[in-house]
Amino acid sequence: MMRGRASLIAGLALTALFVVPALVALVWTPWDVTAIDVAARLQGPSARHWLGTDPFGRDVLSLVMAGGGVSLGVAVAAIAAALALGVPIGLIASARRGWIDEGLMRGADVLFAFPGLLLAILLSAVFGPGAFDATLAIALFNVPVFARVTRGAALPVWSAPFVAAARLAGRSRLTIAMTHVLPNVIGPLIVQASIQGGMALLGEAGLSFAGLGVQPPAPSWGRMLADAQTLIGSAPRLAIVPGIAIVTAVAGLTLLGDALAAHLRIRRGRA
Amino acid sequence: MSVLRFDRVGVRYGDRVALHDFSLDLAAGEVVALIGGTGSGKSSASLAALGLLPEGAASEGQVVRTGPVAMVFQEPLLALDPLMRVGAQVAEAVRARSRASRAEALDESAQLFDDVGLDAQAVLTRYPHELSGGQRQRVGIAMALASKPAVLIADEPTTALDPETTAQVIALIVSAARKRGMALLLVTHDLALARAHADRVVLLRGGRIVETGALPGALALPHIAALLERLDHVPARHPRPQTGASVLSVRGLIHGYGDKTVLSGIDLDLRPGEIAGLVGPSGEGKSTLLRLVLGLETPQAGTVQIAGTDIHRVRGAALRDVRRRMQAVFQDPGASLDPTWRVGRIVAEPLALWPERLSHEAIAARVATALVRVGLDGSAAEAFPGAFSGGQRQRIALARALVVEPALIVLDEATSALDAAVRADILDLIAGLADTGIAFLFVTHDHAMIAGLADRVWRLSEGRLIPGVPTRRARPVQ
Repeated sequence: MMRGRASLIAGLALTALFVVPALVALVWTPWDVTAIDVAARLQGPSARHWLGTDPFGRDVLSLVMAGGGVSLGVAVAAIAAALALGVPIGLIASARRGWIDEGLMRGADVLFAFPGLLLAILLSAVFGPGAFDATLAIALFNVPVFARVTRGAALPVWSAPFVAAARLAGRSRLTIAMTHVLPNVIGPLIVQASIQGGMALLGEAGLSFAGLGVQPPAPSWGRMLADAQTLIGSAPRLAIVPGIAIVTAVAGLTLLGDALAAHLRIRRGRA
Repeated sequence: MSVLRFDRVGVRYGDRVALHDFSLDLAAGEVVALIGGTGSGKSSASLAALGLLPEGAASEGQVVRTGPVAMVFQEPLLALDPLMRVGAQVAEAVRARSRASRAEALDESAQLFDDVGLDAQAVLTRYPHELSGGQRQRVGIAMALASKPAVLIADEPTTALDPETTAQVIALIVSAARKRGMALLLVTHDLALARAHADRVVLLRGGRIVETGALPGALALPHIAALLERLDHVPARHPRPQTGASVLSVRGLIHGYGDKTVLSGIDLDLRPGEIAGLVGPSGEGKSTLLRLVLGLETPQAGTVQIAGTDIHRVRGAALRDVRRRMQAVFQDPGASLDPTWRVGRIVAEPLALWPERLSHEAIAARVATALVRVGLDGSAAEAFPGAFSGGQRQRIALARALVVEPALIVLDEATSALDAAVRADILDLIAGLADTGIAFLFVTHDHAMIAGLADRVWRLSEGRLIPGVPTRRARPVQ
């Protein structure tokens, strides 16, 4: 229990460490992230630029803050979309066993087996590379994850006596799914969503690094890594800063997910 | 000669004291029953004897063993390795004790299988999942005997079994212990088992020994006597003449799955205020019959009429009207209430069947009435099910059934998860409700209980209903 509490606090702290600056960056950054100042290029950390400047003379601190917002936005939107699609699929599959269940789950298997990077390349070919195609690719990649978690958690609920009681009360399957089944699977879904959120951040960074995600001049952590690549020998700071940001954010969300899972297990045990 | 001695043993989990100052001496050939409810510390005592207390448990005092101690576990499916043939598992236990060769060990396990009443030829090469619950527990006993223990500890060895198998398995454990001169510590919540088999009983409550003594004298000790009274409790009922049309009328019900016929022609009638019992071993179709009666499944042939309407022939408003006349209470009090709903909302759920739309105030009033009727406070509506004990949850489930004023309530093993004292209270409640004219169809394994409660008992056998155990209460013949 102590460990659960420690990882909850650590998870919350690490998550806040990137969420709060990202939110601040929406309204204010120390420097304008699009302002290019060639005279001040590749400066080390100073009182004016706490984390130095990049090859275009942009302020690295401002870039990391604003980039976090973009990365976070992509991750949150992707997970929300994946939930919106995956949860109903899982619920329907669990409610209507037989061929509907088979069909939906085999479809999810196919999507799951499809390489994520290939999906992203395909989508960027269709929509052009950008935040939208990255969001869509990450969302589609996560749909089968949530469909399966929902179905798996929902199946035992459907056979619970309280669902039989609801049927005796004349409730339709749809009503039962919304009022009884969904509230009982929300716990595992929250846990899975926070873990997948960490993965989505990593995915966005990877896609932007590969040039399939956010395009310049919009800042993003993956983008910053890509730009720093050629300068890794002369200015490793440019790669280390966004690298630390990514590791912190992913570790924070994963710890948070773990802690939530442990918390739910304890509550279940007591009930 | 003492073979196992507990000397002022205490067990703590953090701040919680599970067992306090527990002393007990077991002599060879003696059968001692350790009885107590959930959380009484009886399992802590048996784990301490085996030196198997979980991590995080702090213990004091000492356990003195003068010979090997073996254990028969509660759930044999969890105690056996699913990937290993049962013969090999028992042989492994033999080899752990002796220097026997593989072949000798297999021979000895065949002998042990014979001893526990298993056909060694047929069973030795099976995997655990291929055996029935009773067979698995027999394998568990054979495995415990393989180590030639001086003490056998059986911790609720029959919870996973139906009553008929339970009786056989307990008799087997006791006779094996007596034949081999082992001491047997029978850990159970079931005083009836203890009364039937033990030489001595120890009653634990809250981690402390409340009463202890040799049988049958110990049955007169105040706490044990009180438990016995609850165990044999027969609810008082006021026989009323069987009048009125049938509440439930089943005719020619036939149903099966695939090629298997489960029900081959069921006829039964229930009149207002009547309590009917339905008994029979697992797998004989009791649950199927219930699902058909409740309209959760459609029969292959036959009719189920509730107050004159066939539940399988109507839809829409007419179906809701039939459903309103019939409610159910299920076995597991932990799972029959949605843990995410407040009790008030749970109890109100069947009111969706009410013919006219009810205001919030009317719903709240009906919920409060139903809760009071089952002996709960109306304020219980605000709490979540997690805040209530098993017995209270079964009361809430009964309130949910009562809220629509049904003519018939189906009880599916509704008291089998409750301990004796709580069960007696629920039976009183059911008897009282029957006196107000509600009919009950009670599916159960508990023959003694249903014989005391019901007006009639049927047994389901080979797809047909035959008269079951005689009831203590003879209705006035019309």
